[in-house]
Amino acid sequence: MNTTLLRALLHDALYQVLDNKVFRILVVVIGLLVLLPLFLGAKETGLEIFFGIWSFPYATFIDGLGGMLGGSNNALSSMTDSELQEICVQIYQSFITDGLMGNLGIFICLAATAFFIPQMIEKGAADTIFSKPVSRITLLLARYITGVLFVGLLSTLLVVGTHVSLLIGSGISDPAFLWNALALTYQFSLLYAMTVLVGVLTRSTVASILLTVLFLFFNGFIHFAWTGIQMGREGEMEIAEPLEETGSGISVTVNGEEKTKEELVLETSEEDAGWFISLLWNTTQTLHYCLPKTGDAETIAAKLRGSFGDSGDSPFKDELMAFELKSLPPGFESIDPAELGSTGELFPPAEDGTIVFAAREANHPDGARLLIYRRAVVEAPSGLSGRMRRESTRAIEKLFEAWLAADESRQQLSLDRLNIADGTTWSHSARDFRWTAFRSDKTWNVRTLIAKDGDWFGMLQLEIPEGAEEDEAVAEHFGGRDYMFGSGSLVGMQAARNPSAWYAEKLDWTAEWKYSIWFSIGSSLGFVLICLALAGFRLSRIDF
Amino acid sequence: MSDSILSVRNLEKTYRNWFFSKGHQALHGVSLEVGRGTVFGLLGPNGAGKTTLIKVLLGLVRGTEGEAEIFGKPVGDPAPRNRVGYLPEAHRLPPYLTGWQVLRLFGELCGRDRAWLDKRIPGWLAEVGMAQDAHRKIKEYSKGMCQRIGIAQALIHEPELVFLDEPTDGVDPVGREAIRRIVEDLKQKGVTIFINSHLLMEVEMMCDRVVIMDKGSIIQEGTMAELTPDTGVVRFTVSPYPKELAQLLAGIGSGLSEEPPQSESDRTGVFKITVDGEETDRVIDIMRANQIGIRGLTRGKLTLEQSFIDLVKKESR
Repeated sequence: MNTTLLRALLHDALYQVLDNKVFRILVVVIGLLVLLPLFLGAKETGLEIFFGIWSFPYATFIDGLGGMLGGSNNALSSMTDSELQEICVQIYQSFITDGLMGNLGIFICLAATAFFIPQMIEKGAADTIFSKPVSRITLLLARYITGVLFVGLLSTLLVVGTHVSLLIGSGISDPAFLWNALALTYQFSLLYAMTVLVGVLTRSTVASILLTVLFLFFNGFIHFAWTGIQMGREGEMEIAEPLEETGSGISVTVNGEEKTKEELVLETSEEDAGWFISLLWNTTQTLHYCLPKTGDAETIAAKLRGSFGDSGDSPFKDELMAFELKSLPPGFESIDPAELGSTGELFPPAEDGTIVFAAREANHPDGARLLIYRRAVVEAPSGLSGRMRRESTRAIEKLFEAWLAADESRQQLSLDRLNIADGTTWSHSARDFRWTAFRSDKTWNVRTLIAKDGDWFGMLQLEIPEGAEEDEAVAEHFGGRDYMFGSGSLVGMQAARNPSAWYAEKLDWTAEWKYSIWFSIGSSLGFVLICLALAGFRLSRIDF
Repeated sequence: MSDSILSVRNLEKTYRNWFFSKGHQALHGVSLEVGRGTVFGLLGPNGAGKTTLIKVLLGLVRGTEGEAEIFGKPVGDPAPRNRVGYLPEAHRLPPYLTGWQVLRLFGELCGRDRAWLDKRIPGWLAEVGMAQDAHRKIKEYSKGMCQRIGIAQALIHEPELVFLDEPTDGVDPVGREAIRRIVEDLKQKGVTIFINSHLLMEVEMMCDRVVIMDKGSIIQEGTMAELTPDTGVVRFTVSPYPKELAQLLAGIGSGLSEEPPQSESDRTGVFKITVDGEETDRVIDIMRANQIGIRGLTRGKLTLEQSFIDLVKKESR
């Protein structure tokens, strides 16, 4: 395609988009949404309306919302103002990109662009344009690009505008948020390929919209079904004795017989699945792999934000465990774990885990210290089922209790099951063990938090030598929940275990192929290519 | 024909709604050779296959059988179409563009660059009488205005072969005159033009050759003179009208018919007689010798319309 032709088609696309009334209305709506955070700024001290004419401290809102939020209110109450400010900004960003543009906006854009193809191939218009020395497939692609450009411009306007507006209004810059413009455009481009295909096949705008929306629901249903079944399949294995320790992981023993994970999955599948269920599952699986993964766009954007938008000011972050330590306790400094000398008593024993972070009181090298270490749930590579992993959480709890009881120098004080606030969700459960260890000449009050994410146990351990509780800051954190959990010191534990969250967690750049972002993008773009190829083939066969 | 720019051999087209349906055959073995610089009139009753033939030549419709070439290349190849201009019947231009933008877009689609087009667009807009409305959007245009811009878009890239399907549809008399002038100019430049129109008077005025189609076949092709032959009937308007006309013209020609004056005061009358050229001179001599003034003399020709109707009726019998 020469540059003259390319320029002509792009200009045509642009003129068509700019002339569209829905586009103009959306631009105005977006303008209002973009301006809103300018006048309603989330400042460090509270919400400010009209550049500080009215201002409301965050506490006012939290108190007001307390009843509605229930348990979550506790977590909010314990957050600092700057954390609350960040949450406000995140909520607005999420409302804009996921809620508004990601759902309602996509439907509006589909309705606004669905006529592009039927209008091009209606009698009179088709005669004029297809008699030119340009192939039909080129003109079809130009219309497809027009639709994508339509949404691309709106998304860019929305996301960049919101970013700038939040920066001015709230003083928070989150450049990684800009990835959302790309994600929204990507999501639309997948759906619009179907609109184009239906448009060519039916030559009807109404049919294009209706069938695309139906496809969207069908597509969503297939992926939801696949995710649910897949999550269930991975949890099908029964574990009778998950506590037998071998090497660095937990072995799987069923009815006294050690089995490989693959054997267990196979046995369970063969026993439970009839031919109809197998057919249904295979169909669902095939469709899942072939259809565009529109829902992945949001997760991909989040992963991109995680990968590229890291602010870098966390003292510790571990992608494997999804642990992030937002800030060090007052008076603590991070140190090289190797400087610790003796690691004290870690469960499981140190050789099974890896200390990935260490900090201690800056003024008392022999005082309180904080360790974060991780341990594989099973030996990698993991094919272990979800149910087994859930069992493993309880198993490790039992194992931990057994480990405490096995040595008189250890004494368990309490075990709590906690919900951890990660800033946006409050559903992650963890085990909070408080125990006392008598080591050499000291008594240590230890608090060990064990939580699990994916294939890893994340463990956070605070050790305080007897007497150090007199240090008010340390005692406060050790005694209450604030130190490790409530104040947001520990954030980023992705723990929600519904299928969508489970899948979002599995989806990654480096995951196995079916959970790989590359596969998601590749298969989705493959679907787009097939749709466009079919549309192009059909278009080339139409007699105008 | 050595300088043939359009060649059609045994072209057939059948429209099928479903794969196994018999369908409707729109073209039956059409063959045609067209040289440069000719203005062709493509005539035929509704459903004769005129538009289908044009659309096959432009690649808008795929022929079922036979061959069709433009500039020596198969019609399925889009490349030669940058030398072809087309004004479809009931066309629909992009409503979101202005007249100027339409000309630029279609010119660019035909491979002309922007600078080249920007020099020529004002001239074409003036030619079709749309200079003042060039920057209004198509959706604001009347039917006639769309038709004018449609003609300009068909010609903006200076094609060598032009298909105009009902070019004067919806255009006022001034516009029609402008279109006739444009066609004449193109003809002078050696452009080959196909005009498909039901306004036979206009076809008669603009075209050199005519192709008449019916039921998917070409039933007549020839020059305008061949299709509108001399009938041999000469109409004389004379004054004073001779009372003994039959006697005066005895032995000359045949089929004398008279329309004498209706009243005593009116001395002028008309008679028609079938004569050849020499006999016409003799009739004039006799009139002059008898002091009869010749006020008018018209040689009778078959009109294109009459010729067309006769042909189509004959074909349907």
